[in-house]
Amino acid sequence: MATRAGTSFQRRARSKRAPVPGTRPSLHNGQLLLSTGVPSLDYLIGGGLAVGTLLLVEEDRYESYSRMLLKYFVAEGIVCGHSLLIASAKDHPEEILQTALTSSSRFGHYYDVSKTMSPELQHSVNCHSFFQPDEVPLDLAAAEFSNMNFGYVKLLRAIQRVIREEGFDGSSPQTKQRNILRIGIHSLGSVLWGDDVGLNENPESAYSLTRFLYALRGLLRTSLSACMITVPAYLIQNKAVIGRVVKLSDTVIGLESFNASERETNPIYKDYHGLFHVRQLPRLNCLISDVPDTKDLAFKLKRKLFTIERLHLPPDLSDTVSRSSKQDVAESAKLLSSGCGGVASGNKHLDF
Amino acid sequence: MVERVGAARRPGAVSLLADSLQCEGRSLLKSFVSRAVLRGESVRVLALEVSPEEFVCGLDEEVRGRLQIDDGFTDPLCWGGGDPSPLERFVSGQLEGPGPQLLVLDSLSWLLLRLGPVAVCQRLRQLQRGARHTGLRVLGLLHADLHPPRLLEVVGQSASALVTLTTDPRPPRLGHGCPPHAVATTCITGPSGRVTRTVEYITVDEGLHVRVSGEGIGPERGPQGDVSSVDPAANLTFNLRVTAEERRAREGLVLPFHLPPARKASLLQAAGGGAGGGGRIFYTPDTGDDFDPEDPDDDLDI
Repeated sequence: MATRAGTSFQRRARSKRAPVPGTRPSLHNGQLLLSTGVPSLDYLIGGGLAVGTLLLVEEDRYESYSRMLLKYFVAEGIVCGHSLLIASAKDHPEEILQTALTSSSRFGHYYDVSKTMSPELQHSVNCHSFFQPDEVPLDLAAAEFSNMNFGYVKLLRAIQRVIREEGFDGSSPQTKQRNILRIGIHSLGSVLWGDDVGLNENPESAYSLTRFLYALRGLLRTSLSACMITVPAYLIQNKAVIGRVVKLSDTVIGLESFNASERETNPIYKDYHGLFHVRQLPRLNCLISDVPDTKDLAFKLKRKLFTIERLHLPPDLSDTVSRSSKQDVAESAKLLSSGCGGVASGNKHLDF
Repeated sequence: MVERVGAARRPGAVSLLADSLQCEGRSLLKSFVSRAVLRGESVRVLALEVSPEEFVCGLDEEVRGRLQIDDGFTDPLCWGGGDPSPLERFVSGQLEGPGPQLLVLDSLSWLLLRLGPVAVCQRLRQLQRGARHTGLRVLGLLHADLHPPRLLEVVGQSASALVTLTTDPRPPRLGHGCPPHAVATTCITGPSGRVTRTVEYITVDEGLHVRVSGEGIGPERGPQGDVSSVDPAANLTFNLRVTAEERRAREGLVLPFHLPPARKASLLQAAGGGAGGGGRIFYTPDTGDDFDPEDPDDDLDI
């Protein structure tokens, strides 16, 4: 029988395309978001990392925790089945892949820091690697080619080749399901990449790094990929360069660890491993970005989780109350918050 | 902590000693070298700043015999022909021999100034990566005066241990007869990324033994924080303290408007017992006065 009459109100056929695995649309602006592997970081940058954008991580001294963020990014990519491209000048990308964190789903999904992922799972993803000492000979490391550091030129070309060959930019029609390319670049701008921007105030190739980021963002915007880069920003003294690096990236966060500094002994910071700064958030196809409600953030690396939370300070009491140590104050605050019927045992408690 | 740097056995460990003009570090380097040789390791020294003869002076005969020194001092650019220059030797890797070794660079500053920081850092990283197979360790001397502090930080971070020697801020104790101390700040980066930082007083004596003396002072109260305090209580125009006699005199002093009990009693006695003398009051009642001798004033109590 004739089913449809010729009415103008016809339901549009649903798109046959299945959603890309591992991504979800953002609630704020409809962008396709993917997870960085750290749930608290996802929450702070607006739900996740948008596909086609660049996340810049300003490293801490001795690079203890920024490398951990990169590992979370890689582990999340493996679990979601995304393709990976890892570039490094210090450790071989194979090592970074082999020490990827294992994923465990016992009490909710988390990544276990103490164990590494099984090799079958590691090899199940398509992983490309770029190791700078293999690609660039030692004597050409600091050389420039078309106004950019030679190592950066080769890295850009490698990324472009992977995007084009695997079809992430839509040039070759993908018959199977579309996939995302996750790019992780370790310690860009450090001296091992051949860049002296971190060494002196007026480096010779001051803008190699900025040109690289500019070109990279162009590649990212025209393909289904997302990139995480760690930069030793504490070494870059030139304010013009660091300002441009921040502006050329989309999301910029900074880590400041208490490792081997005087702050380690400060009692306020004893629960945390370092401070966390959100330097820039992008405004993608919208007028305002989703800003976190506080700037006082601190991070802590536990075995199961990398938490980023508001830095808690004990309550500041007036002068009329006798001065007690911060320990007592914190305890009394806990007692207060537990309700008026809470019984205080031993320590001073406040009576209203 | 400095002992740990000298006794490091992990393959791929790069230890650096940073000294300065005021406080030299070559004696500490020699002490580490002699200790490594006596432990039985094969040690190779690349002598670039001082001649090999000068390097071995102070070392024992046994140590001298087992030490392997490459001379890069007499003919650094190889104008005499023959062997490759020390720069090429460092870069191209003709330094490694069979078996685990300790490679001593005297000094790394010489290489940094000629090769540039990029090449040196990459080469050190290459040696660290290759150390998994060769078991090589590197010990280098660095002169902090010759490089900008940022460069020292970068090179220090690519090393696994950095010992910075600075002069002892305390005034020298006369009559003790001990050589001057140096303050050693040691930063050790563990394989897991954990960094430990300690500050100690060390002395290297004639026999090239390292003595760690004094307590490890905290990083906040380092040598920079030790400022000689000026006594604010000196040269005052008033006294801040009271001596014993002054205190006794002060306590014995009677205040003008204060009526002590002794004085009160004497006054009363004088008033009560002075009926035959002293002041007496004679009163002649007037006509309008209500004088009643049987009615004393009992609201007055004296």
